[in-house]
Amino acid sequence: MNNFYDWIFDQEHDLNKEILSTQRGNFSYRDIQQGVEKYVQLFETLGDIKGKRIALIVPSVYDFTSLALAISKLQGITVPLSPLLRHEDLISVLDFVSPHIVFTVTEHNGFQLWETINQWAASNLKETIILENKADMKWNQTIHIGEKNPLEEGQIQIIGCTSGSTGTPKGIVYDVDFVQRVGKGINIGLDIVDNDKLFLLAPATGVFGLAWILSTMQSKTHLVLSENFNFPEIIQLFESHASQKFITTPSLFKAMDLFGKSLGKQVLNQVSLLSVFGELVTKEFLQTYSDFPAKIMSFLGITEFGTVMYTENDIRNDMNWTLLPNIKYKFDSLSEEGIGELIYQSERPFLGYYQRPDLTSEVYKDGWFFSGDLGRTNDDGKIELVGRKKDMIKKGGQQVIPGEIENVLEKHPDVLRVVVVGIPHPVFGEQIIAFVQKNRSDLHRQELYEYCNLRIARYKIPDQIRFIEEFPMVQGKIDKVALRKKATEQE
Amino acid sequence: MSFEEFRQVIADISKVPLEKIHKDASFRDELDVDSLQMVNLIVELTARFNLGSFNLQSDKDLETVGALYQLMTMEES
Repeated sequence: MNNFYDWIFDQEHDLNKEILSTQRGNFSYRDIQQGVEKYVQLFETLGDIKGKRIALIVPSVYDFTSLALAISKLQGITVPLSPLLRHEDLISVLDFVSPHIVFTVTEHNGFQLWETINQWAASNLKETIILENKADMKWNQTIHIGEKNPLEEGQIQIIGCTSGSTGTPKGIVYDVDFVQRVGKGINIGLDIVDNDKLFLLAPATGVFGLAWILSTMQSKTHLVLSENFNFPEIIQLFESHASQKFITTPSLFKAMDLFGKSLGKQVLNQVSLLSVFGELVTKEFLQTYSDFPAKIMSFLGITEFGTVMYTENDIRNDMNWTLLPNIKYKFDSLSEEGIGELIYQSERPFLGYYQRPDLTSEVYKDGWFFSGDLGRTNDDGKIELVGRKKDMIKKGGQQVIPGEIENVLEKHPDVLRVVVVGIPHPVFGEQIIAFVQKNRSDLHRQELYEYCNLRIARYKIPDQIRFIEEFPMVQGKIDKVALRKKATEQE
Repeated sequence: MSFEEFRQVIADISKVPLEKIHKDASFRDELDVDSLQMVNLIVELTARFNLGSFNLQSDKDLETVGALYQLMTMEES
């Protein structure tokens, strides 16, 4: 199967079945087909789009989905872009991916998207068509005349762009197989049965959202998702659909819980399965929801590779991972303690980073994808994750994994949360700093040193334990960069 | 919690310069806090001020710094 439209519609469907719901309404297979047809007709007026990169900044999930399916049907390439991008990151992504066509809303959250894109296209000197939507999904066309823009070849369906950790955009190339893998993860991990209704709370119009939309549509599973992060609206949507399976990040779940209570509603009572993913699931989260009356499970996906593992058991009991069928794994550079980098292989190859074969060859070698995750096999034969390779601290010739120390210290009854970072040391290369949030005011460092002494090798014991009241946060996650800076400044 | 402390916490969490944070400042239009950041900000504020919930009446309660301060402090008293 080489396009998403055939993958979904080459099988029999009850065309009246509602398959997708958002704040804008409920959509059946027939509605989706009509949406696709509308955009196929629009593309016919723009000429052949085969091999063309088509950027979508379209918050309407129905139009976003219809556009992506129409593009795939006509052998174009979808480039989903977040409407939350602002001037600098938007321009750098546009420069990087150089789309032939851009669909955009005029503005989002007060930022003038169309104006910025139009200025970019005017200075880009390449032929670009911009379709702007002011309201009601009627598209105004602006054509910028310029040089011919080269076309893509091969089976590429999607290019997913990130700002990259260094601020330089990175594109990841995906095909139908990637979405199939995401779908397999959903069906097995969430134990999908007929007439299931899933509620997904995550950015809907990115690569991840698109993969969920397409794969649930293919497996006849009704997906409900929010087009924004307006919680009163989200709660209303959730209530009106009575979804039993809820998929989101730990921080968005907390927000849902908080807003539900603040609005005086017990909305989460209807949930029988909660799946959290995308962020570290902390001890604090598991403690807060220790009495939550539904199973809590998790997925492990890799941005480049799709879903690879899921948890069979409730993660409040253990956090052991089970591999999805057709994914092979092994450990690279296994240490004496049995810890190594998890590397994966699937039936189809990783297509690589867009126009960056150098980056691709760093992570994809001999058909194996190097995930950067460190793990080991536990006594039950299950995979246990212990940290990220890039966070590994190299101290005096020894390698120390922050996650391992964090896990040990977090088992102490008076410790709420721990983050371990490495900072430069003049003799040993790096030293280990543990930031500890405690829940007993008279807890002393010495008690924690002794606790570590009994449980981990001496070279892993933090050189310094520092108590912290609040962790610095960025985008809902602990800001390790700020912590390292703080640790270095206090030296 | 005084308004000054509240301003400081918003500056710390959202990385917006302190001088831009005043009672009438709109999170969206003046502080450029997007909807997802806003959610993170609220979750973080309620954790820091140990609030189990707050009495949300409408979206207007989340529009400006002053409205959010009132929302968070009403529940505290």
